[in-house]
Parts: sequence; structure tokens; C-alpha cells
Amino acid sequence: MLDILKAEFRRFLSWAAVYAAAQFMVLMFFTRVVDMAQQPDEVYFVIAALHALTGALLGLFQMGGYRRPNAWLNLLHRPLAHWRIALALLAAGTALLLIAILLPLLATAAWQELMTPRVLDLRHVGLCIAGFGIAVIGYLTGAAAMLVPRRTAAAPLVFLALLPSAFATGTGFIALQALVMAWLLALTLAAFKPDLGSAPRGAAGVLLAAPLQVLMWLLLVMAGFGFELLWIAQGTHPNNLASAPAGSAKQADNAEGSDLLIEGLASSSAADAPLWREQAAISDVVTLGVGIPVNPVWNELGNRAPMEFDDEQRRIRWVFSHDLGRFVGYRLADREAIGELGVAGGSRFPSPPLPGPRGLLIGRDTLHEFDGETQRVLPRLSLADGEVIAGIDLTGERLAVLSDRALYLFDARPLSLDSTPLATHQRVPLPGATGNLTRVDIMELLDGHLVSFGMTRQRHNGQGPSFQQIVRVDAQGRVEKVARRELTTGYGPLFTWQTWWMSPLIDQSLGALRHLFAPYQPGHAVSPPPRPDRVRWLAGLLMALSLLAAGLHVRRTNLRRTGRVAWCLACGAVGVPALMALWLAIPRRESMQMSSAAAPALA
Amino acid sequence: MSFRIAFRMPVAAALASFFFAGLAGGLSAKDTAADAAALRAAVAAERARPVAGRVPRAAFLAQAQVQAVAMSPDGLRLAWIHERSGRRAVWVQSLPDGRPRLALPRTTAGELAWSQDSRWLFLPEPRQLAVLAVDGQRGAGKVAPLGGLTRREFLWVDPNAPAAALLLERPARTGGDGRRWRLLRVAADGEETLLHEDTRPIVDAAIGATGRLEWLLLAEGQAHVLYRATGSGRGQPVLRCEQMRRCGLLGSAAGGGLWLSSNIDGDRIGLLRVHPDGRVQRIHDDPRGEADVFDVKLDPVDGRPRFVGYRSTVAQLFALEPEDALRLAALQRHRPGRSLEITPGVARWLVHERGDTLRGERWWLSDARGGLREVLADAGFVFAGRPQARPDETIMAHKWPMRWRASDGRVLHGFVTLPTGVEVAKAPLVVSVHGGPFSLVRPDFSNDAQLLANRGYVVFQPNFRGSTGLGREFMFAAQGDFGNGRVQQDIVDGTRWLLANGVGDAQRVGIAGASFGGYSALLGVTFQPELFKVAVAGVPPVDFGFVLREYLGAGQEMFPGIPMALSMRHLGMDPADKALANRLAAQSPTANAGLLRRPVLILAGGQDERVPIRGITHYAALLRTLGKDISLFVDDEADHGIAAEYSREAYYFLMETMLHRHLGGGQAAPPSAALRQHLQRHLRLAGQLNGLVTSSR
Repeated sequence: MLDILKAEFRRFLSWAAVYAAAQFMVLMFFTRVVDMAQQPDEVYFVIAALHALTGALLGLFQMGGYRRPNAWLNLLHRPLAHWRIALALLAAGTALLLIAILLPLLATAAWQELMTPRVLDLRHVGLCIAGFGIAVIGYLTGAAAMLVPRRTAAAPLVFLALLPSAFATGTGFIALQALVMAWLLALTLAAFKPDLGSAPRGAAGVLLAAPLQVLMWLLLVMAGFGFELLWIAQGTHPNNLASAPAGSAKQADNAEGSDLLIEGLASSSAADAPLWREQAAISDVVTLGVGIPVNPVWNELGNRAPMEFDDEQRRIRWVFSHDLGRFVGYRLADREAIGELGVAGGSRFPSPPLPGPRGLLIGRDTLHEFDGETQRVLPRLSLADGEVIAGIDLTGERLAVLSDRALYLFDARPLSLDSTPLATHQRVPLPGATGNLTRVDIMELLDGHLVSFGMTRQRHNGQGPSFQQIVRVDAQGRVEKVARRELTTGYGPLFTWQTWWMSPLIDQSLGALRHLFAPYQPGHAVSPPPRPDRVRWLAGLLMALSLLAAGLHVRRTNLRRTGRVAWCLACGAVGVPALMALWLAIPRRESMQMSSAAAPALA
Repeated sequence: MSFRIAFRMPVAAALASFFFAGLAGGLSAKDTAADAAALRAAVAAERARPVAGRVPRAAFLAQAQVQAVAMSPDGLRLAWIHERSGRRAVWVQSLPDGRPRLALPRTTAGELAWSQDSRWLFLPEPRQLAVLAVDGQRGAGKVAPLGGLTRREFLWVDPNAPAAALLLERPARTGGDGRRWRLLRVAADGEETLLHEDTRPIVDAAIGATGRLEWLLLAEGQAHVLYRATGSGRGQPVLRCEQMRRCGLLGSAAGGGLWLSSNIDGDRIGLLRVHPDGRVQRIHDDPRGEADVFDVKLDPVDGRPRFVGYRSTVAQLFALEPEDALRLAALQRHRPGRSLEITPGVARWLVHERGDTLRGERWWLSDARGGLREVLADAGFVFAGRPQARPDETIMAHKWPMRWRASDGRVLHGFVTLPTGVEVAKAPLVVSVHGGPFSLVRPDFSNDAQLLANRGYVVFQPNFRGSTGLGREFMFAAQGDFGNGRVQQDIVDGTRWLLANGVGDAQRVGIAGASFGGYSALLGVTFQPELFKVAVAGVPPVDFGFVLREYLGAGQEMFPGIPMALSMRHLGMDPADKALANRLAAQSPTANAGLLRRPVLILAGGQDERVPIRGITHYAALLRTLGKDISLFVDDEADHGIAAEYSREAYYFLMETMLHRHLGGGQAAPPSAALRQHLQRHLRLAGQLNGLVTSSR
């Protein structure tokens, strides 16, 4: 086994070395230009995609070479268990990826740590490991795709396709990667057998059947997307009409703040509604959204935005260190380190802060302000226990802070006058989940505010409602609902709930899996409306028909009784995607049809 | 060395006191007749002049390119700030005949101050204090940060150090730290020396000839307390300036005393000397018995007062030394009727000249031999990037001081500007009310009044009770009656007195003003519609009590270190007084919107820190729902002082148009394409001005 591993390792070593050197040079070039540890997530996503592609190509090439019949026979014709041969090959591939992917990443990180005043945290080492993990997942995907039956070769791809949509970060994301790797490893080992044309059987069959069903569901979803593109091209899609229909969510999304208030107040029975409508027409309405749907968490792998800000007066760049819980500064002129910056003289920040406007530092539930004059960070406000900041807007004398439960309005004048924490002016509870909130429009009244909540996000996929609610909050903080109107979407229930009725089980399971090992984030919290009965009936009908079709299909296959029952149950529970997977994975048994002309004549 | 009182002190108490000594109970019949006769004489004088040619409104909007002209203490150099298109530069000229040279091409400073050795210029910018080396020596650059949460501010140049400035700061409160005020000296090389640190607010200070801190003014509760520094470090209290009495430190006097501008010993602010034992001696007072001191100029070498100026009713300047008096008299003969301000230098004086028909300033150099030469004579004005000529003085209307008796007998002062060459009895009248209300109209050039007079309007500018600069009692006399009450009645009484004396057409009276003036304008058309036919209100509170409560949160102080609420309480406007709040609310334009039957034009700033825009939009919306004639212009970016050039022009254009339509004065010149575009963008309600421009909203 060790010999196979060594031989395989030597086979690709020079390629791995070249790849490592090239990657190191590219990383070093970018490190010279920018701080690679403070890039937004999009940059890491691109790098991860390249790593996944690298791994996949290695897996495809490596296993593709052995898959040829002669090579396959030679490979398996050894005094070793098949799985041990497979393990040796996979270990060699993983070691090569370690050299090609992980080593340059770690070397770049080490250079940054030792040779620059920039921040390098433990999480950045985790980021390197995650990059390596992506490459290994790509590698195992490629290997498995090459070993499973041709008709199901795309099934392992489903992990790579779905991994970017996971909400996990930090060690949670690495753990998720480990689970995916374990699944793919098991699948690869199960598929590593003499008869490559047959699907794994028994319990191992689930390793292929489950991702294959999810892939079929994804294909159906893509078909729905294709239908939507046609709809758009036709010009009748509700989001692409020449002018959005009156009372529609689309119109509400695009409206000027004042127009939205005027529309929303039209049906209000409040005595002052006519006055407010006039006032809205001549007022500056502040509009804010969920600007921070994902809040930084300790030891996250990436950055939603760079965790740094510049003190323009002193020409100092302050970069947040998760390890220290403080900002670390260096001079922009000569890159000399100049020390740390903590809260109120040096304490750790309660949560990693996101740099905001006018020196504000937005933590998970706190707001601090950097005073360049005194080089101090002053606590400005702290939300109630458990509430998470989802957005802020600083306009004139008012600071609006949106949490996942409420909108807070503060008198912002002390920001420039004093250094004491701000006192809450008014608190307005949200009428729904933050993940469904599209916009908040605020108009000042003589003695309070009029606040409009547009709850229309995720209306297209059944994860959110579609309505506008207007409340009045007076100077004493009393909140009174003054108007609410339902907003039409124009999609229709079949389109809206398409991912669900295609397979309720997969839709719900994937929804749950996205949150695996993930911290709570306000932008991910949704409050789906109830599904219409006809959508439920459709889903049930499709599952029943899938069960029936599966029953007919399995009778004509070589499946054993338990296999037939399992597939039938899967089709009944999962629906059409399972039926499609069954058709792909378990073809009808071949029968010898002899024509009468060809049959020997009986004498 | 110059210490203008208004420079560091809030406007409310910058000046006080304007009632005639001994005439507080009212004018005698003889005085009344004399006042009426003086008015008739003014009318006759202006009637005899030719009708003024039309002056474009840009001439009243243009900004002076030369600002902050300052002469070095040795009198050998002149420095000024030249501004064009928002870009400021510092220029320096050697006197008497040197060529002006550009010393700094870019600065954000709005003022400059010479070091005592005349070799450095201190430039207080919003975020830093910079110095400029005038002798070509090394060391120019930033010397100290300003602003920030410490609210570090430039006080003045240290008069007893060759090149140093005094800074005052209030450190941020963090953790368990208490709030501490610090007085610092910062040298031109950036070296900072802590002069004093205190848990009480430091208001002012005076440095002795030895360079030591000798006098300190601290805020304690409701009072400013004057301390004399002692060797032990604990100061000795000498005076308590309570009940909003003003104590402005001018500088240490020889023999351990202190020069003070104060009303601690009387009603009006005068020049006082405080002796080391605490005795107070009044050195100078307004001989007319009317006005508070406007400014005191000190000797650049020994710091003794040389000149005292008053500028509340008529502009007066007095020299305190006999030889200065002779020279000043010669100057006043040369520039008769002018408001002069003198900066004495060792070699010569710099004379600032202002006047009721002179827009901006003129500057003269006066030498000991009596020579007088104008400098910076070519300093121009700019509007919208184009040079503008100074309005021709020969066609500008005069601003005549007037006084009248209010319906309760109190004597009040103000000014009337009469259009030249017309029969004023038939001319439309505009009452232009000043803001504040703790402020005043001075006898200097007024852009608004001159524009309107040029368009044929009589302009009345009252200094109603509550105005500053006319004595403490006068300022306190309003007693918070700022609704449709005593103060408004003062304005109405003055208007009726003018009409009764044949000035203005009673059927064509309008009222205009900004801030409190705008509020008064709205009150006027709401409660006195038989008198006022139209209102033009700039940044107006629509409920004065509401705005005052809001203003408390803005961190402003009428008196440094004393909470705004306490000052307001002294002035009869206790923010916690519910009865007062209810009265002001009940008498507000908002609460009485239904009574309005005159057209109203409102101009507002979207970022107004004093008069929240929401009050104005609420009022305007209310008027709309009631079907009233309301026009509303809002500059989204403007604060309380609308500064954008086109917004200021829009103000004049809309005011001209509104008054022309309803009072019949001169018609506004058509707007330029840029102004039209600006109006389209910002005129949110057009009222009867509809069609003037096409609103975009």
C-alpha cells in the first residue's frame, strides 16, 4: 500500500511543485499590493473555486487514467484489498494537494506574519486549511465522478454546488467540509470496485443515491430558472414589466420613500393620515435596509468587508485582530507598527466590529466610535440582550439602528458633542423577520416619526411575505400601527413554491443543512408565510405519482426486494427527483428479445 | 492686539442695553415730537435724492474676496485671507509699500492672528491650528489639533509670549475619568504647556507680563467666577458674574489688575478695570447711555486699552489716550459718519471702515504724522464665480436710526431704510425682523434692507425688547413673551408708528425675517392679517417652545460652561415650565394655522440644527390640508445659515417675486438658467408662485 502511495506521489510531484511555486508567486504578488488577510469574501470565493477546480482536475485525471479496462485490471490485480489500494491513491493525491495548495498558502501567511506589520490571526490559518479542504473536496468529487457509473457521474458534484450556500464559518465551516469529505471518501471507496458499471449496492448505495436525488432536484430548480428566463424574455415577468403594477411589491421596492409613505397611508384610518400624506410629499424620507445581514463573528474565516479603517488625520491604518480583540495599527507612510486600539483605553471589543461611517465601529450588538483626536474608542450604544445589529443610518441629527428585532432611533447630536453613550430615543419593533425586510422608510414628524416597513424580501421563493406596514412612534416612544397593506407579487403560488413542491423533503432538508454549524445571523432569519393548499396538494400528488411510477419501474430492474422497497419509499418521500434518480441509477433490466426471423426454425 | 467681545462670546450677551438712561419709563412728549421730526427729516432727505437705479441682486449676494485683514503688532506687515470659489489663501504684504505676496495657497482657516513678535501667523482651521512663518524662518505647519471630541479651540495669541497661542480643551469622558477642562499654551514650534486644568469649565483667562496665568474665569453653577491666580495654585475668587452678567477678560493690567468688559456694576457692558483687591472701576461707558461696548482695542505692547467702540444704535469710537483722541478726531473728520475700528500697531494703525451705504469694509493705514492711505482698495466681490462690483454708495439708501414708544410705554429702537426719490407714504413697507431673538440689528450695511429699498420698499428693522446690545434690563424685558404677545406687539407698534408718521402704505405692508424673524413673520400674518398682507419666513420656528426644547439637545451654550436650560430660565424661558410651553404652543403659527389668510413663503434648510425641518414640513403640510397659500423652498443640504449661493439667490428671487405680487414693489429679474434649475429642484410647494418654475416634485 505504501509503495502505491509513494509511486503515485512521485508521479505527480513535479507538477505539484510547479503549481505550488506558481501559486506562491501569485499570492506574494497580491500580498505586495493588498492585504490578503482583509479581502472581502468574494475574493476568497474566487480562490476557493480555483482550488476546487484544481482538485477536481487531479481527481478526474488520476482516476480517469486507472479507469481504462486494462489499467483498472492491473491496478486491482494486487494482493491488497481494493479499499486499501484506493486509500493509497487518495492519500497520494491529498499529499500532492497539500504541497500544491496548502504549503503556498501557509508560506504566504507566514511571510505576512513575520515580515509585515499587518494582522495575521489564527483564523487566517483556518482559512488556509479551508482552502486546502475545498481542494480535497474537489479532488474527491473528481475521483468519485470517475468511478461511479457514467449515468450518475455528476452526482458527487452536488456537494461542490451546494457548499457555497452554507452559512457556516470558522471551525464550523471546516467541520462541514470534514463531513463532506467523509461522505465523498466513503462514496469513492464504495465505488472503487471491479465492476465500475454498476452502482454501489446495499447501504453504500445510499452514498450515491442521496446526492443523485439532490442533483435531480437541482436540475428541476434550474429548469424553473430557465422558465423564469423565458418569462423575462417574453416581457410579462412581474419584475420586468414596463411599469410596476400599482400595489405591487415591485413598485414598493422601487418607490421613492415619500411616494411609498403616501401609497401606504392611502388606506389608513388614522385621523392624521391626510396630514402625513401631505407632509410626506414635501419631506426628506430616510430609507435604510438590512445593510449588515451578516455580522462579523469571532474567528470567522473571511470578511464580509475588510476589518480595517484609516485614520486620515494621522495616516494610520487600524486592522482588527480577532486574536487580540483589538485593532492593530501601522503607519501608512512607512509601515511601522504603532500599537493596539481597544475599547475605552484598551479593553477587548465585545464582538468583532465592522467599520462604519464617521468613525463608528459596528459590533454584533454594540456601537463604538473612534475619536481620532484622542485615539480612543468610546462605547456609544449597546442593544438589549440577544439583539443583533442589522444596519445603521446616520442622517443629520438622527441615528437609526436596525436590529433583528427592532428599529432604534437615537439623537445623534451627542456624537459630535460628548463622549457618553447615546440614550435611546425610540424603539419600534419589526413586524417580521429581518431576512424578509427590504426597506425601512423613516419620516420625521413634529413629535415623533412615521416608519414604513417593506417586508418583501424572499417573496419570490415562498420564504417571505409581501406587505407594507406603517407605524407612528411618538416622542415618548409609544408605537401605534397606522396602516398595513398586502402587496401583490404577480408570481402565482406554483412559481413561488416551486422548490418546495418539487420535493418538500429535499427543500426542507437543504434549508436546515445550510444552518449547520452556522452562527445566528439576522439576514438569514425568515418568516415564511403558510403555503396554499393547492401547493400542498400538488406536492402530495407528485409524491404519490412518483411512488406509483417507481413501483412500476423497479419491477423491471435487477434490484433485490429490499432495494426495490427502499427506492419506492424514497420516491414516495422525496418525489420526482427520486424518481429521476431511480431512472438514472437503476436502468431497466436488459432482456434478450429474439425476433421470429432470427429464431432457428424447428424442424 | 484686538479683543472683539463678540468673537468669543455667544451672541445673546455679546451686547446688551439700549434704553435711554433716565427714560426707562418712556419718552417725554418733547422727545416723541423730536423723534417724529427726525423721521420727517430723514424722509425729506431721501425724497430729495434721485430715484436709485436698479442694482442686480447678485451685488447683494456676492462674497467679499478679502477677509480677516490683520496687521502685525509691530505695524510692519499686513495679512489677509483671499477667497474665491471656496478656496482660501493667505496673503502678506510688507508695509507701507511692499508688494502683496501669496504666503499660503490653500487654507481652511477663516481667520488669522499674528504672533506677538510679528514673525508668525496662527491659522485656526477646523481640525488643526497651523502656523505660517512670515520671516522665511523654518517651522511652518501644523502645531496642534483642534476640534474633535475634546472640542479643543483656539482662544487667542498669547500677548506675553513671542510666538504662542492659547488653547482650551474639554477632554472626552471615558471610563471612570471625570470631565476636565484644560488651558494650554502652544508655541509656534508645537510645544504644549499645560497652564491650568480644572474640573470646572474654564471660560476665559488672562496671562500676566511674566507669562504666568494671572486671571481665570470659571463657570460654577449658574455663574462665571473670576479667580486671581495665587502662588499656591489655588485661585482666589474675586468676582461672581451671576444672573447672566457678562464678564469678558480683555487682558492683564499693569500692577496686577485686569481689564474687563462687563456689566457687573450696572446695566450696560462697559470697559472696567478690576484691581488686585477686587475693586471694580468703570473706565468707559457709552456717553449716549444707550449701548453696550462692541469692542475694545488694546495696545500691542503693554496691553492697555486704547479704543472703545459702541455699535448698537449709532456707531461710535472713542480713544482713551489724549494723543490717540486727536488722531482719531482727524480720522473721523476724514471719514465722517462712518463706523471705524482701529487696530493700533507700533508703527501705524490699521483702520477698518464700515458704513450704512458701504457694502463690506474698506481698510486704511494711518501713520503718526496723520498720513492716511487706503490699502486693498481693489478687493472685490464674487458671486457664482463672477466678479461683482461693490454697489454704488451714491444710490444706496441710508439706514436711519429711529425710536418709538411701545403701547406699554417702553422706548424701543430700530432702523428704517427709505427708498430714494419716492413718496414714502405711498411706498410698500416691509418689516424685517432680526433673528435670535437675542441679537440685534446694527447700524451697518444690511443686504436685505438695501435690496428691498432698491426695489422701492420702505424697510423697518426693529430692535424689539429682548434684543441684545441695549443693556441687560432690555434683554430681560421680554420675559419669555415670544408668542403673539409683548414682543410681537413691539414690532406691530413700531410698524404702526411709522405708518402714523406717513412712512409706508398701510395697505401694502409685508413682514419678513429669518429664524426668530421668520417666526415673527408667521405670527404677523396669522394674528395681524389686517396689518401684514404677506410673509416671507426664512428657517422659521413654527412653535417657539418646541424649537427651544430641541435646541437644548444641540449642545449649544449661551454662556460658556453654563447649561443652556439655566440661561433660558434666567431669560424667562424655562424649558421645564409647562405653562410657558403650553402658552407658546397655543400662540404658535402651527396651532393657529386655521386663522391664516395671507400668502406665506417659507425657506428652510434640510439639515437645520436649530430649527428642525420636521416642524416646518409639518406646518406646511397642515396649511396644504387647510387649503392655504403656502410656498416652500427647502435646500436639502443647508443648515440654519443657508449658505449655498444659489439658495441665497433663490431666497432673494422668491422674496422679490412674492413681495412684488402682493405688495407691488419692484419685479424680480428673471432667474438665470442655473437658478431656475435650482428652484425646480428645491421648491417643494409653489403655492401661488406656481408657474414661476416647474416643480420637480
